Parts: sequence; C-alpha cells; structure tokens
Amino acid sequence: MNLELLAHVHGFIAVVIFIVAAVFWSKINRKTISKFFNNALIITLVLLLALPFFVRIAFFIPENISIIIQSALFIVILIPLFLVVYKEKRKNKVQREEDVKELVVKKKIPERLEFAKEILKPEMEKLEMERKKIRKESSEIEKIKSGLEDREEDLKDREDELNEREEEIRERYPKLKEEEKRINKEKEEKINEKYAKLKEEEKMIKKERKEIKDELDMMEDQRENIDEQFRTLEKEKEKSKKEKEKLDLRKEKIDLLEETLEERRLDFKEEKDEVKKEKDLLENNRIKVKEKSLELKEEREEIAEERKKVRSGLKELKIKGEDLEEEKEKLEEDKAKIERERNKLKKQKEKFEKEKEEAEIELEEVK
Amino acid sequence: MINYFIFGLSIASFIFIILSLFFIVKEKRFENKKLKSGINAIVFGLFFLMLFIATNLMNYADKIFHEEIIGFLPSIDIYIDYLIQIANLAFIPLIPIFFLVAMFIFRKLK
Repeated sequence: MNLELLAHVHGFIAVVIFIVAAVFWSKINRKTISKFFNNALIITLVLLLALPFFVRIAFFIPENISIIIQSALFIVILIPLFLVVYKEKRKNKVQREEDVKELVVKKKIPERLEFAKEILKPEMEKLEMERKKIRKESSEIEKIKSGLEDREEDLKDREDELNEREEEIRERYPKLKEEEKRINKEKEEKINEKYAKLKEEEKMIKKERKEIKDELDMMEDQRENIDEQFRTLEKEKEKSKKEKEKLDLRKEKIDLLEETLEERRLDFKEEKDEVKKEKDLLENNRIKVKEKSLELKEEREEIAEERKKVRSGLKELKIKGEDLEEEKEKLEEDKAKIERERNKLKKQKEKFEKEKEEAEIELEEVK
Repeated sequence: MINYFIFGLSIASFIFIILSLFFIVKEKRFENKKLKSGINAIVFGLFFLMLFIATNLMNYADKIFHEEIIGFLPSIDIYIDYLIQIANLAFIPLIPIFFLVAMFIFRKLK
C-alpha cells in the first residue's frame, strides 16, 4: 500500500479513537472522578488535542491553511493546558504547605503531634547539628581568612621591595642598554665578517656544483647518445634478422618451386616420349592402313578383272564382293577410330604445350 | 513567511507541552494511587504528541535553515522524510490509543 495513503488511514483511525475516548470521558461520572481528581479540566483539554487531527484529515481544507490551523490549534489548546496544570500545581503546593503548618502548629490533634515528634523533631535535630557544623566551618574559614590577610600584607611588603628593585633596574637600564648596543655592534661586525666569508665559500661551492652539474649533464647526454645508438643498432639488428628470415623463407619457396618444376619437367618429358611413341605407332598404323587400302585397291582391280574374266562364277564373285564390302566397312571403322585417337592426341599435345609454356612463365617469374 | 509563522507556533507548542509534561509528572506523586496508571497513560500520550510536534518543528527548521543545516548534515532531507513518515504512521495513532487507555482506567474508578 502507498505510504501516504496508509498515513491518511492512520489519521482517520486516530480521529476515531479520539472520538471513542471523548465519548468514554463524557460518560464517566464526574462526581466519582472528582473524588480522585482535583481538576478534570486537564483531561478535557488533553482530549481537545484531537481537534488538530480533525483538521488534518479534513480533505476540503487546502493543505497550507490546514497546517496553519493545526499549529494554531495546538498552541491554543496547549497554553490553557499548561496554565491549568501550573495553577493546579500551585494550588496543591499551597494546600500541602497548609497541611504541614497545621501539623506543626495545632498540637491538639494526637496523630499530627506524633508525626511532629516522630518525623519532624529528628529532622529538626539533624538540621540543628548541621547548623552547628556550618558555624564551626565558618569560624575556621574566618581563621583562614585572617591568615590570608597576613599573607597579603607580607605580599604587599614584598611588592614594595620589588618596586624598589625595579626602580634600581630602571636606573641601570640605560647603561646596560648602551653596553648591549656595543656588544651587539661587535657581534654584528663579527657576524658580517663570517657572513662574507660564508658567502664567498658558498659562491665557490656553487661554482663547483655548477661545474659538476655541467659534467654530469655532459655525461648524461653521452650516455643517452650511446643508449640511442645502441637502440638503433638493436633495431637494425632486428630488422636484418627479420629480412634474413624473410629471404630464407623466399629461398625455401624458390627451392620448392624449382623442385616442383624439375619434377614437372621430368613428367612432361616422359609424357612427351609417350606421346611420341603413340604418334609413331599411329604413323605405323596409318602406313599399314594405306598399304592395306592399296592392297585392297589392287585386289579390287584384280576382282574387276576376274569379274570380267569369270562371268560365269557371278555368284561366287558376288559373295566375295560382299565379304570384301564387309572388310571395307571394318577398315573404314578402324580408320575412323584411328582418326579420333589422332585428334585426341593432338588435343593432349596442345594441352601439354600450354602447360609447358605456363611452367616456363612461372620459372621466369620465380627467377 | 508562513514557514516562519508555523515554525514559531511549533516552538511555542513544544515549550508548552514540555512544561505541561514536567508539571504533570512532578505532581503525579501527590495524586491518588488509583489514578496513577491513568495519569501515566496520559503522560505517554502527551509524550508522543511532543515527539510529533518535535518532528514538525524539525521539518520547518529544515525548510527555513536548509542551507545552514545541509552543510554539516548532507542527507538531512532523507532523515526528515523518514521522521515524518514515522510520525504519521506511528506517533499519530499512538497518541489517542494512550488517551483511550487512560479513559478505560478512569472508567473503572469507583
């Protein structure tokens, strides 16, 4: 719950409790309360302190005005409360004093007489004893006072003596001052001499210190120069070391590339040899095919001659012709195959050529 | 100006309630024994009322002499806020409760 709301609720509760208390107070029989309580107005005033709290919870009064009214109500109720309490106290005090007087003066009442004898008399005796003590003490103080007066007189005599001595000293004072001046002068001269000497020494020391400082500065500069040179040397050393490492790395790379190139060159050579071999083989085949085709041509011519010669064995010739046709077809197929292989080899050769060129370019770049 | 006025009223209230409490407590020993517990309850109620007025007094003192107080007590605003909350939540309900208790005691007197 919001604290402000809770505070407001508490204010309401407080006012309700105040009202309940006021109702109870109004219902109490005044006669019975007056037996015990001398002034019931105090309680009424205390209960009237609820009024500021009434104003506090009145929502229709603006806050500024409410605070002023509350403060004013507090003071308006508290002043009479104080006055009533004070008056009551005074009244009670007077009453009590009268009672005590009655106890002392009127001896006819046996209880009061007994009270006076038993309680007041010992007290009075005690007071009498204390009075005697005080008297004794005052006589002692008187004695001490007279002693102090005597001492005061002595002190006065001593003061006079001191005054006389002071006058004497005053008379001697100018002489002493002159002497003091003379001594001071002498001392001053001596001090001045010493001061001049010290100043010279100080100058010398300063000079020496300056020289030492200059030398120290020179040495410091030299040391700094050496340090700087040493640092530059260190840097150069590091640089050269790095460059050397770089070069080594490059060298290693080049070696590796050379090795790979050598390997590739060898591979290429081998491949080239193989291609050459295949080429030779193909050339041989072509020659063979050419020879065969020539043979076939001759055979065809022979056949034609034979055809002419042997018309009768047409059937046989026809069969032979068909066989020959088949063989021719086979040869044509072989020829086509050989042509395809040759094209393949040609492409491979071109590819190798290209690779060789690329390898040569790389080699040149590496170099 | 209003703050000064309320501050003055609060000081006067504070002084009067303290004096009233002082005299009531002093006179208590001469009162009837049966009344004593009832008067004690009223004294407690007045005591909490005094605390409530003191809280208001401090609040207005802070409002008027804020610059001077904040110099040696930088968190005075927080303390005052807490004090006001405590006064609103605890002191205000306690005042009438003690008075009500006193009324109950007086009621039983015969």
